[in-house]
Amino acid sequence: MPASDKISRRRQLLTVTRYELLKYLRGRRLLAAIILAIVVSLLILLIPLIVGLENPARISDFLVQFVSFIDILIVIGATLFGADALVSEFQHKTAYLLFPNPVSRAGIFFGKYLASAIATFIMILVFYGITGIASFGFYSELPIQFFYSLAVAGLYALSILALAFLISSLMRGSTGSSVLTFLLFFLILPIFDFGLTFAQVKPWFSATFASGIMWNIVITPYPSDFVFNIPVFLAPGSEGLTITNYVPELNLSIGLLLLYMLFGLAVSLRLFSRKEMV
Amino acid sequence: MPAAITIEKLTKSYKGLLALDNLDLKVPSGTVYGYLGPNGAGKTTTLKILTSLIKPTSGKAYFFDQEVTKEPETALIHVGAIVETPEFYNYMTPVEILSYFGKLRGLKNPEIEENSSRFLKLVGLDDWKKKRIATFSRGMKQRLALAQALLHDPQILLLDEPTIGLDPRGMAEVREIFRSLKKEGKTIFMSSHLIREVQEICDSVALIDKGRLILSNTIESLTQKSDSVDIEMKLIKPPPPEQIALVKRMEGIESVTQVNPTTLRINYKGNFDNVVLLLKRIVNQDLKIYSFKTTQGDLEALYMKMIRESVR
Repeated sequence: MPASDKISRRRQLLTVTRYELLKYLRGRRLLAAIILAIVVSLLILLIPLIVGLENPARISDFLVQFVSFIDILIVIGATLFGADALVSEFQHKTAYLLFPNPVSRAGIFFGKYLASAIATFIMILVFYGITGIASFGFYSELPIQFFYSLAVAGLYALSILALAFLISSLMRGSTGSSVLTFLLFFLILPIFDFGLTFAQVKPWFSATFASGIMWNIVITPYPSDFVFNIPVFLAPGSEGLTITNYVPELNLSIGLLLLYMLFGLAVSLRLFSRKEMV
Repeated sequence: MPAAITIEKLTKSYKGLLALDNLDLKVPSGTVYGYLGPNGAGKTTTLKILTSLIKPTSGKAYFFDQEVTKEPETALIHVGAIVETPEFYNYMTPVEILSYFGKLRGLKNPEIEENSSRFLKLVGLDDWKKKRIATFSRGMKQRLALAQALLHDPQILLLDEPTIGLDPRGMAEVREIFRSLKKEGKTIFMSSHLIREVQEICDSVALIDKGRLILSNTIESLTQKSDSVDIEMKLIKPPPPEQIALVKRMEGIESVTQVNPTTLRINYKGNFDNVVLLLKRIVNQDLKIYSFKTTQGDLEALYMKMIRESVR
């Protein structure tokens, strides 16, 4: 029996991953993502220095300044690396070459997912790397909470990428998939979260709301919901407003993000496996 | 030995539209099998099912004894394919493409390098092996598609219009490749609109229309079944109408068409022995003939006849 009768599924998966990463490199998407991470972190670092603001007294407040931007970077990462991963094979007709190979759709799917995760992690690591260096430079320490935040950012990236894959498996075009992914996580869901918060309903089930654990986790102790009042002069004609600032619960949000990841992967894998190249 | 390709009661419907209708077909191992049919007959649908691009509504398909409709990852190991007009990852070079697919097919690096070099030379892309595919013409992509289909030295080749997009020289080169593969004992199953190409390369042919198999047989036995002869006659000067009328009235003449002022196409019911007599009679009519060409056993004529009958 020829050697090719025993094809290693692991090798196939890693081959797909490697060539997906090559796509990101050649298409300069990975470079763009890294540059963006550097620019955003440098802006957060330099703008206060330029306008003459002093660094916060507590290191946790300093870190929050940075990591409160990581969700935007992750959404951009999911848009660049996840949103067109599946749909592009159908739209650009490259599936005619790829699918007749003795490789399972699951192998292709997870190879692509792994590549998109690696690319997004690189972007996250660059951002956290600069944040960590700056933090160490100013405060001569790097608390363990910084690493917790990094881990949670990784989990959030995996969840959002899984949901981006779900959108990619549903859409017919790369552009539509990318636009929808970006708008959904950057605009639509945050507005939805804000609306619910304003209506005094805690959006604990929302992935974008759960992303708040990435910066809340650097605060010691971990914060909880708190109520604040808007004075009468800010809300004319009323007796003032009482708003609750909801904070995502750590364990619940981690569980929720895991659930979104598994749901996104399971449904998109099923759709991708069944999708026909008509 | 089982057939290289076995198709059993294969049916595919798209939202109620039947693209394949209980198709049964066996392609013996080592044959070059032409797959003919008009547009929309179901040729590409068959190839898509065989390559796991789509799933059948019902029925089964096998490569040797492995069911591709059930376990495509195993069944496709010894298959190379070109389906529809191939599109490649534009950011890659031919060498990278072949390396990618070689690895997916379980080839080792030295084998990939050796085969890539060999097949890129064979398809005439050696000088382009490190150029980005984004700049390639359709014909070059078709050549590259053939190289990737051959890369792992497959026992079975599935080819959908393999010479489409190629210039005449490219077509001739590709046909030559098929002839050498035929000598190596490969099984080739190719769909084509070019009936003369099929007649020239293939041993057997299957004809489908509206998703149904109309006929399948060796080309030799099919062409022998033909009971009429098409004759193309070129004359030195245009024949007068009364001479054409005389030819029309001759025994066995089914039709006479004046293709251009000096060319007549005659459909004659009879065999080659009778054609000799017919020629004598026409010459006796004082028609100045400088070319007389018969096309008995022409697959194209048989194809047209079968398709016409299928429409009825």
